[in-house]
Parts: sequence; structure tokens; C-alpha cells
Amino acid sequence: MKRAAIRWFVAIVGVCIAMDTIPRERFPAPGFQDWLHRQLDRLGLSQGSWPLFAPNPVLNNGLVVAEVTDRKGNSATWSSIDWAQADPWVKFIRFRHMNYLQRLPRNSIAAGDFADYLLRAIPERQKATPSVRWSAENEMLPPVELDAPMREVRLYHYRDSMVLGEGVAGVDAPLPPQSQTVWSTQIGFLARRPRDP
Amino acid sequence: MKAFDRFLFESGNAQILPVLRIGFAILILVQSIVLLPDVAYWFSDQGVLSTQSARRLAGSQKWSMFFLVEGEAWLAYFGVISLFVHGFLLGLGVYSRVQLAAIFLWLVSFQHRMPLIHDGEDTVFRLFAFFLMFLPLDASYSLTGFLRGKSNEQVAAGQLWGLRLIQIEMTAIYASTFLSKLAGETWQNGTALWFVSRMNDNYGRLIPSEWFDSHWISQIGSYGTLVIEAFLPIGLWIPRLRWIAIMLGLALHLGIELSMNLFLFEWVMILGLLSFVPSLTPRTVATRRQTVGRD
Repeated sequence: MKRAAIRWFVAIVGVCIAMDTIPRERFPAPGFQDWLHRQLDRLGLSQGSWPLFAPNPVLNNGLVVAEVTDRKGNSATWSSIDWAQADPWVKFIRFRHMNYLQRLPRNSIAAGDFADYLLRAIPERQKATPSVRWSAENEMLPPVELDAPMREVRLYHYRDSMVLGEGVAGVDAPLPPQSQTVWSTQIGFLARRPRDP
Repeated sequence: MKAFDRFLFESGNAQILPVLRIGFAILILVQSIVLLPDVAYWFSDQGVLSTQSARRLAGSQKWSMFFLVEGEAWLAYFGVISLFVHGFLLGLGVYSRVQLAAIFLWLVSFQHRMPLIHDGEDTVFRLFAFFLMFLPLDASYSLTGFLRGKSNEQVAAGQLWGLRLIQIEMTAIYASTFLSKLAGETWQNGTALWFVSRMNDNYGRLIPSEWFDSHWISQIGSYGTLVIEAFLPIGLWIPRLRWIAIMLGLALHLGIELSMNLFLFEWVMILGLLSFVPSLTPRTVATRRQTVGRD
């Protein structure tokens, strides 16, 4: 009896994992796969497909930048850590921050909440922002004495893209060495939060 | 049916259980220590995502302990400290199933409360916590066993079927990533690792990105990754190829670990690979000693 239950359990879990993990574009019934994924989510057992560097590596280099205006009209600019310059230890202990800031531009709900957070937290700086420190490592402009409360926060994403020759990279055009790689920065607007009157 | 029973109940390596238990516990401890300074920032209404927004992102089907109490920071601190304590007790081997059940509960709660900071490695952690619950992890090198006077209890092969769940999970991951990469043109033309080395935010440890300036290194790395990821789902299951597959998998993950900053991803995957390590029975060890002696 016990063995029969184990057989069924392993078979069901195994089949569910396999079906949930197959890339969506290769699954014959994507609608069913979505339904299965939702059911597994309810149990905390969802896996989903595994898109690490697939189908192609996604370059997600960039910064999240906030323009802050205080009640007197003074402006200051805050920026997230430049991860490209951070040492591996910082990248390790702040890995969650790196994940967060890389995903923020694709999530309008979270971007709005982050702007709200900055609006609340900036006057208190270190006290209220234990992990996004207002320090030399993530401040773009020299510090300005801001007068609380803040009037407005605007949030932007500075995304670095590589400039490559026309055609398929590496096939039609040679790929440049690291020292000659040219980057361009695109600025995308994420959220604006005025303080409630 | 007999073959399925052999697969579930007549094979498996009990010697690897303490390695999996202690290794997983160490990774949970590291996770909780790194999370602790930022707990309120990530998981409370004082932080960057309100509970209301987290509920909207989670949808109706996902649950979390943090959805029961509205945005309170104390619950977040309690959760991370609990995660640490359960990880510590798991490492000692004190009622490991109970510790794993609690770890699973907290991992699901954290991941559903703040999805933006979690990624594939966290999915693996969550599922491993669930699968490990079905294994007799206190049988050896555990405080519970020591206090009972049975520090190395014999584990019957029939109790090791939980290992199969971890192995199926690992196989599915490698197969999925291989199938996904097949569709990518950078993997097809061998430039994928060149692009990976330009992910300046994540890249940058011991292997310099300049290595991939060389087109042939980039091609060897890209095609080599594809070949290994295609081989692992098959090789790991064939006894004669298993050690080769494990070694190739280790090389793949250590290579990524030496070049990229992906937190604990490579280590939890290596732990998963170790679930495939075959039993070194006394007979095998004796045979090897004899061979070495003759040499």
C-alpha cells in the first residue's frame, strides 16, 4: 500500500516537473502548461522553463536613476550601484539588489513602489535606506542639501546597449574585443511620484 | 512495474545523504545571513514593495506567510531568523524533516512576497527543500542519531526514493536549458559566451572577459556548454557514463562560478549533481585499494 502510494507520488511529481520545465515554445499544449504551472504555484512546487542565457544571453547592464526634487525646488540625482565597477564581494552580498534593479525596469508596479520608497526614505537617508546607501558609490552628482519633505521623485532606467555592425553579430560582422566595445545608453522613463498634498 | 520498483526502491546511495543535508544547510545559512540586514527593505511595507503590490504581482494562486500579516517588519525578521535556525538544526541533523518543512514554508513565503529579487536558483532551493523531506537524512552524522546511540544507522535502499525526485529535477533543468538554447542564434553560431562575457553587471571574477575576445575560445565555450547540457540528461542516468557526466557537470558549474557572480546558483546545482554519485560500497573500495596496492 505504502509502496503503491510512493509509486504514484513519484510518477505524478516527475511528470509534472517535466511538463512544467519544457520550454513553452516546444510544448504541444502551451495553454495546459500555463494551467499546470498555476496549479504547481499554489503548492509552491512550480519550476518553469530554465532560460539562463537562453535562447540568447540578454545584456542587462544598466543603472536605475532617480531625480529628486525637494520642497524648495532643489534637485539631486540618486543612482543605483554601477555593478560593472563593483568588486565580486559587493556583487555577492548585494546579489539580491542586483537582481532587483535588473528586473525593476520591466515591472511597472514595482517601479512605482520604489519611487514611493525613495520619496519616503530620502530625507532620512542612511537610517531609512540601509541597503541603498546614499554614498559615493551610488551618487551621480555631488550631494545637495535637500530640505524634507521631497516634492517629487522621477525614476529612470539607463540601459547600456552594445553598438555592433549590421548583420548577424559574429557572422556578417566581427565581434569587437572588450577594449573596443562601444556602448550606447538609452534612457527609459519608469515612474513619477509626487508627494501627496 | 518491476523495473519502476527497482528504480525507486532498490538503488540509491545512502552515503551521499549527510553530504546533501549538510551542504544544503550551509547554503541556507549563507542565504539567511545575507538577507538579514535587508529584511525590512525587501519584505515589509517599510521597504520597496508594499504587501498590496506584492499580492497583485503574486496573483490569486500564490500564497505567502507575509500575506497573512499586513506588511509588518517583525514578521520578516522572524522569518529570516527562523530560516537561519532551521538551517542550523538541519546541519546538525535534528529532526531534519521538520526543519526542511519549515525551510520550504519560509522559502515559498519569501519568494512569493518579493519575486523581483529571486531567480532560478531560488526555485531549485525551494524544490530541493521539498524533495529532501522524503529522505532519511538523520540516519548518519546527525545529532539525533548520536543522542539515540545510533550515529550511523543502516538505511534501506527502499527509503532512498526521494533522491529520484532530485535527480528528475536536475535532468529536467539541463534538458530545458539545452532545448531553449538550441533556438538561440548566438548558441548556433558560437558567439553566446562572447555576449555572456559582456554582461558586465554579472560577469567579472577570475576568468577575464578578454579571453572571449578570441573567436575560437568563444566557440569552444559556447558549443562545449551545449554539448555538456545535451549530454547530462542522458549521461547522468547511464551507470557507465555517470562519473563522466558528474565531472562534466562539475566543470560546467565551476567554470560559471569562476567567471560570473550568480550568488549560490552553482553550489546548489553542484549539490543536485552529487545526488547522482553512485554508492562506493565496501567491496568497490576494497577492490580499488587492491588495485592501488598492486600499482
